[in-house]
Amino acid sequence: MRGGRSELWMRRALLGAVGALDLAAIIATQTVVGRIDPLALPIWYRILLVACFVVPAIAAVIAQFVGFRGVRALTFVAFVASVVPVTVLLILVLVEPGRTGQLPWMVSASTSAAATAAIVWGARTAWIVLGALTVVIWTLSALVGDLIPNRVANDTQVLVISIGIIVLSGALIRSGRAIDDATVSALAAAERRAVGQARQAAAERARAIVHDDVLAALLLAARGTPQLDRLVSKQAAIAAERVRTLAEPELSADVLLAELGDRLREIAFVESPGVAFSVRIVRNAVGAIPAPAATAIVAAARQALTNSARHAPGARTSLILFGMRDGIRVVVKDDGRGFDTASIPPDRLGVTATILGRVRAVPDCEAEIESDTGGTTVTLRWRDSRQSGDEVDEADSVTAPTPIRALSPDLRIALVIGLVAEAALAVYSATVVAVPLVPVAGILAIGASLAAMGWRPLRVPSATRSLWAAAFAIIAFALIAVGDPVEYRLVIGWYANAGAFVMAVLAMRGRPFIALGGVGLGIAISAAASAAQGVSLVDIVSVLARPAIIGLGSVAVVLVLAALGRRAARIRADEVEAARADAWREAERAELLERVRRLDALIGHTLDGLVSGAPLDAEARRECALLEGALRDLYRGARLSREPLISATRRARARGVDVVLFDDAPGEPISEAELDQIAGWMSQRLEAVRSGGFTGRILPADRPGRASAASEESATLFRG
Amino acid sequence: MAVRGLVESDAALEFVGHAESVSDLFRRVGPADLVILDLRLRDGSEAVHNVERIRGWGAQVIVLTSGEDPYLIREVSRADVLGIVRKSAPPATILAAIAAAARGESIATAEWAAALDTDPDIEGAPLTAREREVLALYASGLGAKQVATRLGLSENTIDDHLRRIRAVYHAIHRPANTKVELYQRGVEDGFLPGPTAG
Repeated sequence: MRGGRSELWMRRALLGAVGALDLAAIIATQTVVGRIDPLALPIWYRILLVACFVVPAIAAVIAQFVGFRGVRALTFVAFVASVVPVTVLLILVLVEPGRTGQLPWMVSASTSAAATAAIVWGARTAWIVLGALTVVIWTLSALVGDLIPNRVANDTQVLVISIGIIVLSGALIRSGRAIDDATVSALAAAERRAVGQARQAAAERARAIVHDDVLAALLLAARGTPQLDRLVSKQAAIAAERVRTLAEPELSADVLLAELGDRLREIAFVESPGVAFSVRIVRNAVGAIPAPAATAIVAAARQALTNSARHAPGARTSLILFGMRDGIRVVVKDDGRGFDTASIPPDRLGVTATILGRVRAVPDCEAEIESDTGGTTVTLRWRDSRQSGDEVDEADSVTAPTPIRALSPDLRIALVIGLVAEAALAVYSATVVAVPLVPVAGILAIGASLAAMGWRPLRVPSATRSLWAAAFAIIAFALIAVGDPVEYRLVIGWYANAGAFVMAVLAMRGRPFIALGGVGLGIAISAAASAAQGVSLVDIVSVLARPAIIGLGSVAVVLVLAALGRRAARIRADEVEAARADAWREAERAELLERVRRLDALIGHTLDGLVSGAPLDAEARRECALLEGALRDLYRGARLSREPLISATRRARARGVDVVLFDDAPGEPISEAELDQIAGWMSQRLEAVRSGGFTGRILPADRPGRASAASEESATLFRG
Repeated sequence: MAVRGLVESDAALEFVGHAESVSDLFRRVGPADLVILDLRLRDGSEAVHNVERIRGWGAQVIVLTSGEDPYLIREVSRADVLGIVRKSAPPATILAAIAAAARGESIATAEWAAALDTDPDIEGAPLTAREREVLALYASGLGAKQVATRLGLSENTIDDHLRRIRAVYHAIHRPANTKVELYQRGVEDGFLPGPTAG
C-alpha cells in the first residue's frame, strides 16, 4: 500500500474536515434548525443519530496520532457511522409502514458518507455510495410523505455538495501522492548527482596523491642508486602516509559557522602572516555548513591566499568571512597587480582554477575570481538552499502537480453536474413559487458568474473577471429578498447556496479572497434583506449557515492547500539537502576507501619495503618500475587498464618496452564489450613488440578510428 | 638527482648543480644553459611561473613530468619550454631529449602531443589540416621519421610543422595583462584588423 507523508497529511486533513462539519451540523440541527412536522422516532434512534455524527469527529482527533493504516481504518469507521442512521431509519420505516412526517435533516447528509468513501476506496466507490444513498434517501422521503419543495431543494443541494466533495477528496489525495512521488524522485536524483560528484572529487584527490607522491617514490626507487635509497625511504614514507590518510575526511560533519571562522583565522595567521582577517555575521545567520562545502571553501581560501602571496608580494591582503541568513561568503582580496581574467579561459587559471572547480563541484557552492589592475578578489559562496526557499536544484527538481492543478481534470465534470443540478432545481422552484421569474433570474446569475470566470480551469481568472463573477453571485444571494417571505423556507435559500457554490469554484480557481468577499457580502445583503422582510432570525441562520460553510470551507481548503504546498516544498528541500549531503559523504568515503584498498593492494607492500630503507636489488627496482607503469596506466590509460592488456603491458615492460597508454576520450561512452575488444586487440599488437616504445591510445571522438596502437615498427587503427 | 648521472654520462654535457626550488637555484647554482625542471616542485610553486622565472634568468627549460595529467602538461606547454619529457621514459630517451634541448632544439613527445591534441581550445586555433594531422600522429606515439613517411614529407618539414604548432599553441594561451595587450595580441594573431592610417 502506498502512503507517503503528504498523502497521509491529506487524508488526516480530510477526515478532520468531515469530523468538524459533522459536529457543527449535528449541533446546529439539534439546537437551531427546527422542523414543522417531524417524523416520530424512538429516543434510542435519536441518540444513535447524534452518536453517529460525533464518531467522525472523534476518529479525526485520533487520526492525527496514528499512521497510514490507522487513518484508513478510522475513516472506514467514520464511513460506517455516516451510513448507519439512514440504513436503520429505512429498516424502521419498512418494518412499521405508515409513519409520516419530515425526516431528520441529518439523515440526508450524504456528504460525510461520500467523502469518507472517497478517502477509503477512491472516487469510483464514492460515486456508487452516493448514488445508492441518494436513491435510499429519496425513497425514504417518498415513503414518509416528505417530498415537499423544501426537502427536494435541500437534498438536491446536498447532492451537489457531495459531488464536489468526492471530486475534491480525490484530487487532494492524488495531490498528496504526487508530492510524495516528486519527493522520492527528487531525493533519488539528488543522491545520484551527489554520488557522481563525490566520486569524481574522491578520484581527483586520489589522482593528486598518486601523481605527487606515489609515482615519485616508485620512480626514484626504480631509477635510483644505493646512495639515493635514503631519499627513496623518505619519499616512500610520505607517499604511504598520504595513501593511508586519503580516506580520512577533512571535515567529517556539518561545520558550525564559528568553527569555520576559527579555521579561516588559523589559515590567515598561521599560513599567511600579515593577512587581515575579519568576520561579519548578521543576526540569525546560518548555523552550520555542510562538510563538503566547508572543506572545499577552506581549501580554496587557503589556495587563494597562497596565490596572493606569490603573485602579489607586498600587497595588502584580506580574508573576510560573511555569515548571512541564507549562506556564507568568503572573500580573499589583495590590492596587488592583478590580471585580465577575460584573457585567460577559466580552465587556464592553474591550481586556482582546480581549487575553484572543486568548490563549484560541491552542491550550492559558487566561486569566482575578479582581477584587474587594482587587485584580485576571489569570492567563495555557499548558499543554504533550505533558507533561500528554493525547493531543490534545477537538476534535481521534479515538477509536482499543485493541489489546484490536481483538481483540474475533475473540476469541469463537477461544474457541469453541479450546474445541471442547480438548473433542475431552478426549474423545479419556478413551478412552486409565486414569481417564477425569480428562480430563472437566479440560474441566469449563476450561469453569468461561471461564464465571467472563463472556461479554463488551469488559469487563474483576472481580477476583473473575478469581480464580475462575485458580483453575479451576490445578485443570486440578493434574490432571496425578492421572494415572498412565506416562500422563504420553501426553497431554503436556493439562490444563496448556488451563489456560494460559484464562489467556491472561484476560490478553487485561485481567487480565494475575492470569493470570500463575494460570499460575505452576499450573506450580509440577503440577511439584511430577509430581516427587513420580517423573517425570523432562526430561519435566516438556518438558511444562510450552509452557504456560509460552503464559502468559508472552500476558502479554508484553498488556503490550507497552499500552506501544504509550501510545507511540502520546505520538507522536500530539507530532505533533498540532507539526502544529498549524506549521499555525498557516504559516496566520497566509499570511493576513497575503495581507492585506498586498491592502492594498498597494488603498492602497499612495495611502499612498506621502501619505507624500511632496506637496500634495493635489481629485481626490486624493476618491480618498482612495473608498478609505476601500472599506476600511470590506471590514471592516464583509464579504461585501457584492463585485462588482457594489464598483463601484456607488464610482460612488455619486463622485456624493456616503454609502454604508454592514453585514454583520450574520457567523456565518450564506450561499451564494456568494445573496451574488451580494444584491450584484446592492443594486447596482440603489444605482444609483437620486442623493444623500443609502444603507445596505445583510445582516440578522441571525432577521429576515424576508435583506438590506435603504435610502435617503432608499425602503427594501426582499431575501427571496431 | 638521478638525472645527474645521465647528464654526466654524456661528454657534451656538463652538470652544473641542482636545487629544490627556483629561488634556491638562483641563489646556489651558477649560470646554466639548460634547466631540467620538475613539473611539480615540493614548494608548491606553479610550473608556468617557474618556467617564466628561469627564462628570465637566461636558461632554456625542459620539463620532467610523471606524465599522467594532460591538464598539467597543457599548462606548462603554454610557457616557453623546449619540451616535456616523461620521467619514466627510458634513460636514453631522456638523455637524448636533454642533449637536444642543450643544443637549443625543441622536443616533441607523445605526452605533449596527446595533451595538446585533446585540448578543447586547439579546435579554434589557426592550425592547418596538415598540422592537426601531424599533431594527431605524434599523439598516437609515432616518431618524426614515421610521421614523415606516413605523410610523404621530409623530417625537416615535420619539424617546421611542429615548430608552428608550438608557436600557435603558445600564442592562444599567451596571457594578456591589460585590455590593450589583449587587443595587441589579437592584432598579432590576425584575429583583429590592425589600425589603419587616415
